[in-house]
Amino acid sequence: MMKFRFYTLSQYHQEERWLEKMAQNGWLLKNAVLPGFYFFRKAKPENMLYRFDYFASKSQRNDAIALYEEYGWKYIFTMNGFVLFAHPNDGQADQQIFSSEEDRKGMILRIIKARMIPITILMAISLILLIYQLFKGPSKDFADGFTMGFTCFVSVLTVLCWYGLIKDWKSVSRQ
Amino acid sequence: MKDLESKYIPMTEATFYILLFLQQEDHGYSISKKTAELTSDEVRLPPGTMYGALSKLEKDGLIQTVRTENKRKIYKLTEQGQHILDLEKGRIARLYANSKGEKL
Repeated sequence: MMKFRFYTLSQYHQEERWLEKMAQNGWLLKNAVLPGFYFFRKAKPENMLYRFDYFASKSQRNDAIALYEEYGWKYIFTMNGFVLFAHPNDGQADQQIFSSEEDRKGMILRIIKARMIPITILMAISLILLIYQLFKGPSKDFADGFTMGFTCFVSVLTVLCWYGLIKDWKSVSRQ
Repeated sequence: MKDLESKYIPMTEATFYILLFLQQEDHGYSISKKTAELTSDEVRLPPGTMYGALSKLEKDGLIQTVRTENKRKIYKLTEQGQHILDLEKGRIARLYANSKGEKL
């Protein structure tokens, strides 16, 4: 079964909980392609733990996957640097992949450095282009309309991601 | 070296146990099992924490990869790592003595 879900970069905890709920209902995640397209197979209802970690480079990711597998975590897929692992919730595995606040914040910082900074720069450039266009006067040009739409899209997405990551950071501090 | 000292001392429990066990060649998962065993499960080093700690320690030159067996990386303490671990052990010995009202 395929399911599509729209989610932004910072909603990984929400996706983890949703995947765990799917497993409890007997749908085990097989794979995912492109952001948001999940493939499931029908199985016995199971208590699974799903956890995302984030790695900026391929070599880091490969080293980390090898380590996670030794701990008994199963590698499921990689999407934009996010790596999903699964483990049956059988008391053998730690519920959390990080044991300290500093490590949890380390993951958020890795995401900010590798993803948020580039996307924020992209947003700034498109905003500057948009302002320039507005000063030039109204136009029905297709290219201008496209810039406008693209800018709005990127801006909304960037703000949503920052909001999510900051919320996540604060919740880590509170724990 | 002074920078590393101020960065690592006092150190987190994760770093302490990793350095302690890497006085002999070892790999991440084995360190986490030995740590859980030695501390009666009080100190857990799950994979995200372990990976982050190992890569940071390697980057800072406290540990090094000695070889890779089937994708499994085997690490060992460097001289610098040993120096930092010894300093931390000394600090902990002082804390322990002081906690009993004694002087080291």
